[in-house]
Amino acid sequence: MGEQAGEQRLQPASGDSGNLCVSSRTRSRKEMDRERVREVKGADSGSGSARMELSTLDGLHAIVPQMSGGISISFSDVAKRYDLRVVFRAVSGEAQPGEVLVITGPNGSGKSTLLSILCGLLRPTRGEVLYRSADGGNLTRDAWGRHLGVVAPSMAVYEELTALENLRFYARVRGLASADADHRKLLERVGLDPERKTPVRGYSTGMAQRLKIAQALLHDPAVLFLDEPSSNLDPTGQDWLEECVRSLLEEARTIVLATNDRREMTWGSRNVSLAG
Amino acid sequence: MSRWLAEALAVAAKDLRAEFRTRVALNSLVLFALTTLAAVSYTIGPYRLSTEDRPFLLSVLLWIVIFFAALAGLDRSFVKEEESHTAPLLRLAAAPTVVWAGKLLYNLVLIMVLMALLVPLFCVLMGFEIAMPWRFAAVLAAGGFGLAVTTTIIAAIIAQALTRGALFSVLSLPLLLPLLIFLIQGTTAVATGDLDTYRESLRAILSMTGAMTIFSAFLFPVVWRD
Repeated sequence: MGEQAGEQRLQPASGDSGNLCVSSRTRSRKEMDRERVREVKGADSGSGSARMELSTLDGLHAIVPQMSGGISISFSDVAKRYDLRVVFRAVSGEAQPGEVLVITGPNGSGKSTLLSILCGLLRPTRGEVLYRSADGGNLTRDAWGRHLGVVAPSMAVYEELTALENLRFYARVRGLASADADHRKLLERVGLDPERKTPVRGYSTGMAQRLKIAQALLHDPAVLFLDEPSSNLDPTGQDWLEECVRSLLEEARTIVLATNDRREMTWGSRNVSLAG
Repeated sequence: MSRWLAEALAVAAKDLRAEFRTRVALNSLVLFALTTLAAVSYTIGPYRLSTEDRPFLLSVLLWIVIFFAALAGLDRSFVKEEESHTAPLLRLAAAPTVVWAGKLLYNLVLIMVLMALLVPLFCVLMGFEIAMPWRFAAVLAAGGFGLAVTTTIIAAIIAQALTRGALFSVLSLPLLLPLLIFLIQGTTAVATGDLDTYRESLRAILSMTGAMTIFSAFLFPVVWRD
């Protein structure tokens, strides 16, 4: 049975990522946006392959509700059990805006369960999870759902619909005023053809994973929960995802990542390790 | 309110689009209804019942066919979300009442499609003559809404259970039985032209449906989230 192994700071993968996290807290959102626009223009003129470079979110800022600041998550003494089976006991940790909290542990240790608890889909047996906005106020469970994006193997998009119809649906139920042009742009940025009329049922697992990522980024969430996000992605997709995560950190987003992938582990600035 | 309605319509439209592409629930509903109707019309037909008993017995048969067809097809709305693992994202993206209203609209459309196909065919094949056609439409509309409301909340409950197959019918029967009795009574009244009984039945149907709607609206967020 698992138990929490503690929280520690990991060294960033490179000097760059560490600097990004620190500097993102000192710059305003508009300054970061302007800088990113300059970067995109540079990428366009240089390589002509802007589709797989930088953030997925360019152009969407104007159409989705903006958070005035980041959201932090803290959880303490969280435990989960199903009847007599204890999944984990007394897990604590936190993630601040601009940080990646990496949850690691062997198969069956409860990484995905902890992720589900943190994003509000499961109730913990014991312990509490707090979501704080930039002004220090606690967010309620209802308000919280609107500010997070999730990519997880256990969460699927609608197979009977096309990719564009999926994004259109999630935008409508989230009350976004985004237009089809924005959805097409987002699909292009995750490497999917927006004009493809095939329902998602006909997609490969990698393409479906890209669509899940697009769905998670659709509403420009302040917090992103990623459960093994690189799984099923080809090397190009994995590179793109890493760039995407780094650019999200620049924007002071909070990311919680459950993984055992060595490459994904290097993205973390904090770590919670679950014992098997 | 308009935003809430737009979000609920989005859920209903998504379900209808998916349903008209796969036709799983629609096929179950229509095939069950048509098979039963064919069996009933073949064995009983329009002339085997006495004139005196005809309005009551045909009302019973009509609502039995609609009731069991509804049981055959309307449990899918939530079960499908859980089985295809789309429910978690929907929980995060939409407010519970939006999901409930969207699913209710979806079930309502399915049951209205079923009634639009079944009822005229039933009346023709069974020689069911209605003295007050517009009031018959009112009974059908109220009954359809009542069936949709009840089956929607039961579908939400059973979607969380492991043994879903029999549970839908087991839970539906006690909740729908009182409604079914008044629907039969109301249909008999509109067939015979008994205005007082029609009014009494319609009042009872609307009361039960209203109570079930309020009960469902409050219960659903608990069922959906926990």
